Amino acid sequence: MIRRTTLLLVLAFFPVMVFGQLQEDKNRAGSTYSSIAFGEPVSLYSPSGAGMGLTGVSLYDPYAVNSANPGLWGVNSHTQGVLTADMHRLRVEDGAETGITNRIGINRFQLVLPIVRSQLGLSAGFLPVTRSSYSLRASGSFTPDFEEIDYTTMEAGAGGVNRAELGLGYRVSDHFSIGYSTNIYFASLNREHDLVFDSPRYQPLSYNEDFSGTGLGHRFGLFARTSGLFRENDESSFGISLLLPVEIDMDRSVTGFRNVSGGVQEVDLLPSSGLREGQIDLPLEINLGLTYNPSRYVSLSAEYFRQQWSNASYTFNTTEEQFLVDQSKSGVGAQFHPYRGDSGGFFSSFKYSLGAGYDTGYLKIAGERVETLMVNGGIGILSQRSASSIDIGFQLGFRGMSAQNLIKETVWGLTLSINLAEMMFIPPMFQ
Amino acid sequence: MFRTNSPSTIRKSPKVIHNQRTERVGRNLIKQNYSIFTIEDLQHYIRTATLAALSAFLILLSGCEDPGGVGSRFLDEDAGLETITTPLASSEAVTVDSYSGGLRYMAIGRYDDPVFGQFESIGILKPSIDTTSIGSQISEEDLFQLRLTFSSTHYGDTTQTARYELYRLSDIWRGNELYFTDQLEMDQSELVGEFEVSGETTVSVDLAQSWIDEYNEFLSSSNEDRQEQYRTGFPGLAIVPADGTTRAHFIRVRPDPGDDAEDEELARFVRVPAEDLEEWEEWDGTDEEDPRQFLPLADWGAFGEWGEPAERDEKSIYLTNPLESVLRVETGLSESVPGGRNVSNAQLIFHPNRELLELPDGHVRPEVTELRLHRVNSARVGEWIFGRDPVLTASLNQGNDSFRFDLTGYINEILFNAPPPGQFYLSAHTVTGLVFSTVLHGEDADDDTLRPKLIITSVNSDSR
Repeated sequence: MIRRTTLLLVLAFFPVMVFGQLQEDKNRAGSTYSSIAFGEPVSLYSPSGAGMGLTGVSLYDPYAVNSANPGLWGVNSHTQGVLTADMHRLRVEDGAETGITNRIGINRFQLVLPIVRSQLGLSAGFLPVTRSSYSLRASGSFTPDFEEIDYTTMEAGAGGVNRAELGLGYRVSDHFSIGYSTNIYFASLNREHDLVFDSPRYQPLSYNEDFSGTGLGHRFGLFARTSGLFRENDESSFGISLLLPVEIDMDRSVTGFRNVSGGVQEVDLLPSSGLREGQIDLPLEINLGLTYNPSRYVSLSAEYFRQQWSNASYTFNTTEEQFLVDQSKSGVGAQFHPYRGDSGGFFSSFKYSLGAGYDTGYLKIAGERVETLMVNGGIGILSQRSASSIDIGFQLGFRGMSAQNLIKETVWGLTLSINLAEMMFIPPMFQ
Repeated sequence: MFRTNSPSTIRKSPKVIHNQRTERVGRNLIKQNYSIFTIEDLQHYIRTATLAALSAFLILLSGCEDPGGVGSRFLDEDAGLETITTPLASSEAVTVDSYSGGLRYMAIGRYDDPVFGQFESIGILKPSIDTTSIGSQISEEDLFQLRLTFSSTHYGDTTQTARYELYRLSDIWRGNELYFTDQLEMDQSELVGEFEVSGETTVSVDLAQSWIDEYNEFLSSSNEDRQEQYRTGFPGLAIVPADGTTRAHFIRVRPDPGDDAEDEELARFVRVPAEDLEEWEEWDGTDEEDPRQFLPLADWGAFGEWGEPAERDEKSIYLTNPLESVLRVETGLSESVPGGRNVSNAQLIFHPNRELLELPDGHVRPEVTELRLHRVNSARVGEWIFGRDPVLTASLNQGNDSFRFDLTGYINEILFNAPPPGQFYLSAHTVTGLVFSTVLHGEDADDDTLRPKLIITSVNSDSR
């Protein structure tokens, strides 16, 4: 019955999520901090780690895709797929005003195919790297001549950097596995600018700023595991992934529609000396994790994540580039797996997760880091008939501050991962 | 090590799952009589789907909220607006001549303008020979007068009464070929008529019988080519300002566009037949039928001259209408536009030189409230300005005492297409026969804020 219910929930939510993605493009509702440079980095949680707020770099789950560590792609016996959607609700305040934004979107698809069962696996996926989704509005006035002219300026941004990943994982031994992936990065950022004046003599200005580019990146992963380290039947695992720096060559265009020669034409608004080409450099990313399973019911994990954003570059705006600083994220979490026991109670059929993390942030503005404190919880709904499952993660976070012209964000998040294994990729047994 | 029953991976063994599944599905098939769904299952699906869809809808609805103005400080404080003020590249006073016949107004008079020099204008006219309105003969007993209606616009010393004399013209002329600077000969040996006018709106001028007799010959002619004979053989009358006249009047000949003016409101010859004279003298202008017969003008115009002022300020720009002095303007924008390509507003600004435009008490000059910018692509500048609409007009901005042309469209043409052919010329008002003359501060004006200039407001689209 749970499987039917979850299936229906997924089917009901899916079109809403797709529509929500479109709505996001229209509303540009996300973090204001994503207006800086190429957008904010997307925290990429593996489905089984999302409930703890961890990437899951050291978390082995044979029934769900691991997005964080290529070293875990070769150990699976099941064909696995994951589709992840998330919804975030942000309460934002800047000391003068408050507001609320909501964002719903599908952010990931990944498929892992065992080429040699539990030995060699192939992973293909499309995953977000950064996301820009915001809408800003400000008013002001200027005095071009003898009269003061009021204006309202609006800027809405969307897009980000995504990567298409294709990689292999190989189990070297019972204790050790490695993985590698090639990533093609696709950067696509759009900013809509609108400027309206309260004087009819001044023509409103609407124009689009588009950035696009591609780059090539590499990711490596390692996973090690042993048992009986501290007690009988315990298990300890270690994971590390390394994402090498990426250079993305970008093209920039600024266009708008203007009345020319009696008709409306799309025109190039960049001057001949304008910046039409640039570069986005994404930095080295390292992700370390330790997981300890004292029993088959409990998992304890700790992770450290670091990205050297100070080495990143965004040549289109060096001022914004200077806001980027090295980011460190630390988190701990625990999972409880009552379904592994013999109890048949309703609450024993779920997986429970809890975690907390601290993020130093990748931005430092006016001398202040935009830090984040996040508390996570999660529940896993396991299919009684197959290896498929649904992981639902909940987040409550506090980011930034309202002083120093910054923004304080209170984040409520919901992440839904549909882990498909048997249902779609293994022929039904009963035919 | 990556075994399926390790503490961290154990869930249910695939074998158990398989057995459970096989057993359950088989049981369902038996129970449902080989049907996949039961009614209860279907009801459950519907309930769950409804609940899920409702939840999703509520979530989606909440997505429409507005972040408000939070984060406005993440935008540029000045919105990237740039305002650039630049002087004209160059300008040059150009003397042109313009047509002065067939206009709405006919200027007559003389005024020694301390700024623009002596203005003198002689009106010329001739009645039509349309017999449908006044018949083919004007008898000596009939009343036949020239009735003139004046514009409320005056030029000159309004404290004085102007006196005008009517003479026969000697030269044959055509209004639509007449330039203001043309000089026509006239026979001043015999006065055809005369009148004085101050602030009146109309005057009726008695005409010499000898001239009426000459006119009668053409009016009563039955020749087939009487129109051509009349055009080439009857020069008409000149209204000449008499000596001592120090002001100018503007005779209203043709209605303004959209104005449905009556005969009485325009310059006309008027005939009252002898038999209606008594009725005419008693006519109070209201109930009874008007005994007058109105005869429109066949042609009209004015010629004259602008003299040189005693002193001309070299730092100022002189514009006169009837066209004699216009200004060729070079904005300097043809090659490059300062401030980028994202232009919201571009203004070409001129300021009147109020100090120079001052007149003695009682003297008036029609105020220039509109400047016109022409894109002239011809060597015959005067004809171009006369015959074509300007590309831009600028009304007097009372708040800032300036004329502001909106060049935004022109700049977009330069930026995204090509500069329109020709050159800019500046003139004052439409050529209607009225006098419009003004002085603008020039590029060398002592007060640099009053110099002609371009103000271009754009957004720097090359940076955020």
